Amino acid sequence: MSETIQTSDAGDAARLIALGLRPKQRPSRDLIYADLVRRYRQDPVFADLVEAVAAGLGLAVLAVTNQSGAVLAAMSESAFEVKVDEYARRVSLRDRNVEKVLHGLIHLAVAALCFPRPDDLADDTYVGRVSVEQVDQVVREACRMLDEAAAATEENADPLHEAPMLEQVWRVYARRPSAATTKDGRLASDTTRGMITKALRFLVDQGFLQPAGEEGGGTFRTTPRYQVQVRELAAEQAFDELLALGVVATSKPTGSLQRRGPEAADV
Amino acid sequence: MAEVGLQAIDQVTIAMDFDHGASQDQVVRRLLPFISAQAPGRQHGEYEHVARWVLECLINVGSLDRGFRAVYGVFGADGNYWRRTFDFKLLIELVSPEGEVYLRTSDEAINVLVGALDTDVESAQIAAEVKLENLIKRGRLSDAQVAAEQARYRTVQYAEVLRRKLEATRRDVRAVDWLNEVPDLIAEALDHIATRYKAENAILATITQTRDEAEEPDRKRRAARLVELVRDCIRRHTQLQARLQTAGQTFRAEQDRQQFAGPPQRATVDLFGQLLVPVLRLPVASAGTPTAVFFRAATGTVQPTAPRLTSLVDMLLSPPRERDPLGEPVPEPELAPPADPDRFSGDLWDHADELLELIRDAAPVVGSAGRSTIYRPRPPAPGRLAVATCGQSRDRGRSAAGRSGHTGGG
Repeated sequence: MSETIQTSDAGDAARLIALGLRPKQRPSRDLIYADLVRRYRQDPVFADLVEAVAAGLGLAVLAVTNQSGAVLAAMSESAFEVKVDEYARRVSLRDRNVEKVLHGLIHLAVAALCFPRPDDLADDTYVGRVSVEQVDQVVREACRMLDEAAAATEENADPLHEAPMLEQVWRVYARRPSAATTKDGRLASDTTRGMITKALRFLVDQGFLQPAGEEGGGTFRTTPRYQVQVRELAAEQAFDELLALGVVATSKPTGSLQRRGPEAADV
Repeated sequence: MAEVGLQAIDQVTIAMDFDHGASQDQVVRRLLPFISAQAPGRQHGEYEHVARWVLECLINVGSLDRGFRAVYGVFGADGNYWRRTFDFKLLIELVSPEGEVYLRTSDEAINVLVGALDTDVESAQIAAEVKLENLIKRGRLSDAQVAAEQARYRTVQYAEVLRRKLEATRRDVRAVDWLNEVPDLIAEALDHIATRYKAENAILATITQTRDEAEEPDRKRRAARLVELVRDCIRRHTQLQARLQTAGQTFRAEQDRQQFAGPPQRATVDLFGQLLVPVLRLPVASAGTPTAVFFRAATGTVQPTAPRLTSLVDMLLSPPRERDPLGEPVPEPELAPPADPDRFSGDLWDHADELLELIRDAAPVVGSAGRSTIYRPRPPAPGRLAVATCGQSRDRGRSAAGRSGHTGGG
C-alpha cells in the first residue's frame, strides 16, 4: 500500500512483534492484533519492516497467521532466548551436561509425539495430543529397541568406566527412573516423568500446548503456534546439526512407521 | 538384612500382576512379621524402620538413577584392558494410571529369586512345569511346593516380558514391525497360554485329588497350599490372555488412523525417525549441541525482565511485609441451625409404633412405616428407641417372613 515508510509504520511493526512475544494473545481476540496481522499479509513493505525490526531484536518471524498470530523465534544469543541453563536451574553442577541433554531430548520427544508423522507436521489443521505417560513410554520403548539392537551385535556394549561422556544417550535415559516418591509423597522432579511434566507445563506457559485432561499423567493438545515453531525452525536446525554429525537416516515420506500389506490390513 | 531383602523382593514379585505392583506400604506391612520373627522383643516402630530402610536400600534411594552400578574389567577385542560399568536395578518405581507410585521387581531381581541368570523364560517355564508334575506324581509335596513357587515366578516374569512388548506395540510406536513381529508375538503368547492352561489344570486336578485323599494334616495343608499356588498361576494366565485379545483391536484402530491419511503436503522432517532415534544413539558428549539447538528453537521466546529504576527503588525501599507464620486468622464460621429434619409428624410415629407393636406379636404385616424408621434423622425418643432398633435389625437381617410381609405391605 504505502511505498514510503512512516514513523508510525515502525511503531506498528514493533507493536506486532510485541504482541507476538505474548504467546497467549490471539488475533481473534484482539482487533488491533487482527488488523496488524492483516496488514502484514497484504502489505509487503510492512512485512519487510516487521522482519527488519525483529531481526534487529534478535528474533526471526516464522509465520504470521490469523490462527496463531505472529510466531517468533529467538535467534542464538538473543535477549529473548530461553536458556537451557535457566530452564534446568536446580541441577547440580556435576551432572549439568547430562541433565541439559536429557531436557533437550525430552522436548524433542514431546514434539515427536505431538506430530508422529511428517504429514502431521505439515498439515496445518492437525492437532496433536500428547500425555506425560505417552512421552515417557515411547522414549523408553525406543531405548529398549536400541538396547536389543546393541545386544544383537553381541559386542560388549557396557559403557566405559573412565569415559562417562561417551555413554550413549539412550542408556542414560533408560537408567533414569520414570517415577520416584519423595519424602512428602510428591513425584520427584529429577525422574523422567518429572522432567516431561516440567517440559509440558513450560510449553503450556509458552502458548504451545493446551491442557486437555488429567489422564496419562496430564494430557495436552497442540496449538498451531507449536506446529509452526517445530516445523519452520526447530526440526530444521536440529536436523542440520545431526547432518553435520553425519548420523541422519533417510526416511520414507510416510515416516518411519511401517505399513502392512493390504491383505494383512483386513485381518 | 540379606534375608529381609530377599523377602522384600519376593513380596513385591508375588504382588505383581499385569497392571500393578505392590505399594511401598503394602510391602512394609508384609515384611513386618518376618522381621519381628528374626529379632523378637523389639518395638514395633523399630521393625517398621528396618523394613523401610531395607526397601529404600533395594531401590537405592538417594542416588540420581535409583539403581546400582558395578564396575568390572575385561579384555577387549584389541587385547587392551577396559573397565566397564554394569547398571542394574532391583526394585523399580512406576506410576499407575491413577497416579500412585508402586513397585515392580526387575528381571535381575527375579533371577536372584530363581537362582539363575539369563535363563530363557519360555523353556525354563516348561522345564519347571514338567518338574512340578513329576514331583506331584511321586507324592513329594514339599519339593513340589518349591517347584510351583518357582513356576509362578517364571509366570510373572513371562507376563512382564509380554507386558512390556505389548505396551510398546499398543502405543503409537512407529518402530514396531506390524507385519511379522507383533502378530507372531501375540500368536506365540496365546499358544503359550493355551498350553500352560492345559498343563496347570491337569496339575490342579492331580493335587486337588491329593489334597482330598491326604490323611495327615500336614500333607493336606501342603497340598492345599499347592492348589492355591496353581490357581494363582491360572488366574494370571487368564488375565494375560484377556489383554492379548484386546490388543489386536487397538493396533488396528491406531493403524487405520495413521494409514488412511493423504500423502505428505510438504517436505518436513520425520521427528521420530530422523531426530529422536539418532539423538538417542549419540554419545552424551556430542548430543549436547543438537538437543540444545532444538530446545532453543522449540521453546519460543521469553520476555527479559527489565526493571525501571524508579520501580526498582520503590521495590527495594518498601519495608518487608510482616508474615504471620500461622497465616490469616481463621474466621469463626457462623453456623445456621439446620432445617427441622423431622419429616414425619407425631401422628405418623404413633401409627408406626402401633404397627410395630403389632409386628412384634405376630410376624407378617409390615407397612412402609416399618422401614421409614431407619431414615429418621433425629435420634428417636427413648420410648421409641427399642422399636426403632427392632425395626432396623429386622430390616438388615430380613427373615423370609419379613420379606414376604414387605412385598405384601408395599
